[in-house]
Amino acid sequence: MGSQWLFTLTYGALVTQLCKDYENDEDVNKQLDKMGYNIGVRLIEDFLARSNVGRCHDFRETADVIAKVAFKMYLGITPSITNWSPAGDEFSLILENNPLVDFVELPDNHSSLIYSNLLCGVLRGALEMVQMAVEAKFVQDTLKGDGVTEIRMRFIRRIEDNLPAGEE
Amino acid sequence: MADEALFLLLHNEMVSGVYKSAEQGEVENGRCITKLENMGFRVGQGLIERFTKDTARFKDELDIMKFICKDFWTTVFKKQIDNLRTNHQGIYVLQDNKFRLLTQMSAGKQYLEHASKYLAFTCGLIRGGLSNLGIKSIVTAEVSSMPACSGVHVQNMQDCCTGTYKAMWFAASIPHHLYLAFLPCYPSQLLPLPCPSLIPPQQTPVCDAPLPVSMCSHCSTSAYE
Repeated sequence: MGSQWLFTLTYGALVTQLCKDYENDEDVNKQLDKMGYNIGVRLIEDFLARSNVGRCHDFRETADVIAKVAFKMYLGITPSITNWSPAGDEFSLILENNPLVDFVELPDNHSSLIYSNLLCGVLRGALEMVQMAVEAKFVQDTLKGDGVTEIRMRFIRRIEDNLPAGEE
Repeated sequence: MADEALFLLLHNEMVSGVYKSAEQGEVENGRCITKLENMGFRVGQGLIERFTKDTARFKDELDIMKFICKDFWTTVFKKQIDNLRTNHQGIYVLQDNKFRLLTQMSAGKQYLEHASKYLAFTCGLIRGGLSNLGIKSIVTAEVSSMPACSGVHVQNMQDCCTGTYKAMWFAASIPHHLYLAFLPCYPSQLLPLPCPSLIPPQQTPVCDAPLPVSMCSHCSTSAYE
């Protein structure tokens, strides 16, 4: 419990500081994504070491691992997986409750802020390290009045070249 | 613990982020340290609120410090403070022999000069926690190896007396031992204090002798420039 609070509160302090440093929400969103990416490229190592999951054979397996293992391990929640595209290259993660936004309210002047955008960067960075180029974005957000929080994941392509992790 | 890994990475990214957008130079370095410290302060305030909602009232200052060393430190860093020393006149030294935010870093002199960046948040965390328990304080931290510590602290106390915040770093070969020289300045009544953004330094009496104890109880507020 305590360490969850620590992360949530620290994340909140970070977003608050970024809002002070950058004049507009778009820049804050970009910065959160970048930071998330840098975290993701390192977090994947920790994840693979702890979880012992083998290589995923397709995107569906990947989705399962993300929701049932990774989210559970790091954030203590298990989002549900829904809305698969017919081609099987897109799905949604539905978070009933998002621990990052405990006790958080978005003030009116920050309506385009994607508060939890760090998560999208983390997903993108982590998956890149296992040879998957993906796009992750929030399409619903309880902070903005939606009933649930929904992250849309889209598979772009397999990464063939093994370039070292790039930092942004 | 998995969530600890996530917090460590977030913390490191925050430190990098703060420094990336800043330019070189001592003034900038000070500003970055202040930014990180202030972030830690907010988090410390929030954490203490949640932790102490259901705990009994603290008997005295020492009781509060023990809480910080045991419960607070364990919740945040998964271990207790290894050693707590005090002069019973307002100065406390908290010793963590294996500070979690540094154990991931490789030992080496060239790294040590950057250690302050990784300690600022934690200093703020403690200051914020104490603030919401009604104690105004100055928290400084040092990284050093075991034998080198005791002389270091006397100097720190003197610097605290002038009411300015200084991060003092000493070269050491093992960046694992963290000493938090913590100095509460007159405990006010037990009400949560508003989070200060910048407190202007007030006139403080200058210590007339470099004594290791007692002078600092006359310090006014913690001033961060």
